[in-house]
Amino acid sequence: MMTEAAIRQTVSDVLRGRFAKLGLLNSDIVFDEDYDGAKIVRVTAHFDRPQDVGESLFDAADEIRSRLIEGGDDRFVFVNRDYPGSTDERGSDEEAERARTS
Amino acid sequence: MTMIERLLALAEELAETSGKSLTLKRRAVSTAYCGVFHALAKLCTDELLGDRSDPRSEEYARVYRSLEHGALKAAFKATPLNRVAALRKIGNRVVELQSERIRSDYLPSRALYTRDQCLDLVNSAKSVVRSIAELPRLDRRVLAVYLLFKNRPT
Repeated sequence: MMTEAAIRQTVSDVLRGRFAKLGLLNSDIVFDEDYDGAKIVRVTAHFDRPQDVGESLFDAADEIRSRLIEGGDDRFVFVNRDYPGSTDERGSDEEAERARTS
Repeated sequence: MTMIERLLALAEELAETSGKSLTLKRRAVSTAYCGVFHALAKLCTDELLGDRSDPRSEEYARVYRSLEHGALKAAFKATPLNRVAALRKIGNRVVELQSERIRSDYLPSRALYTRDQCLDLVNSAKSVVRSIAELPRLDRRVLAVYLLFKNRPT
């Protein structure tokens, strides 16, 4: 498996190569586990504004994964995005599940 | 409109109208993965039985139902599906959608996605289904064989 430092460098190189001119600020990387315990790499690309980069994000994930495979690392790579204000949209109008009272 | 097209259209509609409903976003992602899974099951069946086989036949249903979620993920992680560019690209997206489908279906009530993140996943599913349809013959056969059959030492 590649080192975390090497993966961070790979992620940075790929994202900057694709999105530097599209308002990319930086990225967060989480070395996580999937629902079945498999190791995965989760990346959040932070942009300075809303950008229509959805398709390119998934291509970036594939490019990162391709480089990981070349480095002997078989982890899947998931890339999503956010921008200032986007997390405010997570507010929900749904009620919490009610606790039993009797 | 086919069932797969209808599932993807429904996912898009759910995502676009989700507003502040975390439930609609979660259903959108789950439905999008469902569409992709059916597209893969259809590809596998068409490759094994021929694309003129009767979808109402028992044989068709038997092959169609033999695709498994766990085996699908394992196959996309291994050679040759992680080496052929078009298949690797499909695989990474399918496995992400599968992972998000599990989160959407089973995590307790909480927000998982922004509207954009939800729409990105739905659009990714649509892109996967298009890519599956455009695969060359040899890649379709490789994909079907490695998704359906376990790899045993030869």
